[in-house]
Amino acid sequence: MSAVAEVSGLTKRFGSVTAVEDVSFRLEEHRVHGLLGRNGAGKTTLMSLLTGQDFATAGRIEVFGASPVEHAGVLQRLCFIRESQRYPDDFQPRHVLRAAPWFFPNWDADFAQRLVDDFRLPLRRKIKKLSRGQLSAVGVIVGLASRAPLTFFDEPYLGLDAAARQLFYDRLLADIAERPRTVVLSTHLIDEVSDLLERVLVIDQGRLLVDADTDELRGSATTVVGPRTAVEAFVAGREVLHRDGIGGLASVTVGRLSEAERAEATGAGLELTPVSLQQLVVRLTGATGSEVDHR
Amino acid sequence: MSTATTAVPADTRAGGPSRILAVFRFHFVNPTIVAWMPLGITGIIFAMNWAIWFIVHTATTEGGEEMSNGTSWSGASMFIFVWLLVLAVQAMNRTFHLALGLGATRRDYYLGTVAALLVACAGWAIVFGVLGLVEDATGGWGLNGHMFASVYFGDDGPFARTWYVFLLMLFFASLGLVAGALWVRWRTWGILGFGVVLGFLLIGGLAWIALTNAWAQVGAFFAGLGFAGAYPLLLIPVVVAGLLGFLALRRATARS
Repeated sequence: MSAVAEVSGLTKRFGSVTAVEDVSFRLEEHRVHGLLGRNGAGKTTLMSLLTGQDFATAGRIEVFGASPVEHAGVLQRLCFIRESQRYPDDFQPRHVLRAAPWFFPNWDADFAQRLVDDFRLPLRRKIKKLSRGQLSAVGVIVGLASRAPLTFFDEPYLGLDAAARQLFYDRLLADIAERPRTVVLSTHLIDEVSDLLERVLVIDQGRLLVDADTDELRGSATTVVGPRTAVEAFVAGREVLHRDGIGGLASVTVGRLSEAERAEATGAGLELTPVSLQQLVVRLTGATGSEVDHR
Repeated sequence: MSTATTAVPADTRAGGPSRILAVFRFHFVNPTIVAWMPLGITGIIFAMNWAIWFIVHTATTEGGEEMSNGTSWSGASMFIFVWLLVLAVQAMNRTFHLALGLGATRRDYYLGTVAALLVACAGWAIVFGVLGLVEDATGGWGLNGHMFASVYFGDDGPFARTWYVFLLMLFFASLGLVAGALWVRWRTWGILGFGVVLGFLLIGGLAWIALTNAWAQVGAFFAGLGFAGAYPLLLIPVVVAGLLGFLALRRATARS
């Protein structure tokens, strides 16, 4: 796999606040990346840095082989409409859609029009009068129709109803199947997108916690459920990610288990359940001392 | 290196004319604020002035000469100059963030914005010049009134007048441009700092003239230049503001 972007030792400080700290990763060509983390984890800052909208304090960023900062050739291959994107006060969605083709060489106007119909976006309403969901739809439509080789979607699901979320999901999958490109999707609604993601980057308090293939990540943790004594005996000496329990029953999430270990657990009458991506991220990033035993 | 297969060609760093043109067109994508609204307001101001001239004309027995002298000091057209200043401030603040989102570089954005303001000033100067011609030809709109051919723009003929108006518009627009760039970069502090520095420079200049008793020489200097010589001096602050604005915007970010 070749990389469209390479980041190493990236750090961004705002005064005394460190928003991104010593982050290194690659974005692989033609794959869908999930940038996951809690609110304020540094997701938007990271995307701003990757798109040259903000300046790094330290570290190196290369997108399509060059620094994106003030590089027109790189920037016209990127699309990043941020979740809190500011639009001109007097603009209506039709103004955005009229201007976008001037900036994106691959812009598909017919596709944009179909998406407008699908999302039922009112074209002649002031953008600041749009609902949150309609505002998200503007960003989603620009992102999809731009056909930018590297497209960032920043919290695209914010305010979208279930039908619109499904629509985004379907349109994105269908379009990248036809015209492969690299996608970065930032969200904290992980279950909604987990089937879409091929690679996962988890960021928390500015640090990169996970950079892995989704499949690999899914198998990286298992929840063991059963009588407390049996469960405790089984997990003794293992890395415990999470503990839960009622009365004599315990539910403990541990790291990757081998086939032999799985057989051992089932033999001991324990139940093994996979951990969803969302649960895994919650456990990785929601750590409070009482819930998690660190190594 | 692994990124080589997808790397952009090395010569694409500068966006070239097409990216600047994109920003230029972007400023005019919604013509309401740029054209229709100020045209409408100018029309209304003109109608009000005309009504007043009509009242004065019918209520007094003074001859046309008096009327013409009086209205030639009209400041009614000042609205357009202030509008251009506000337009320039807003152009930055309204569009900078979205332009970055659409992948414009700061450099292309700035050049496109400057081009848009130049064209806006030129367009308005032509409107102004044509209306001034009509004003002259119709004997002050039939009432010896003045709005577009007022005394501030001299009597060097319609072309010179249009040129002076254009320069004055550029001056106002460049003030707005630098203020807008400072706002986008440093918000309130940028504007405050700009105001303070400008205030001190003005006061310093005035003090210098007053303390050296140079008022007479200053007057003689401008009188010697005449309109044709003095108006182009506005290009000095215009260029300075243009450079300052670029320096401020060069490191501005899209944080909202």
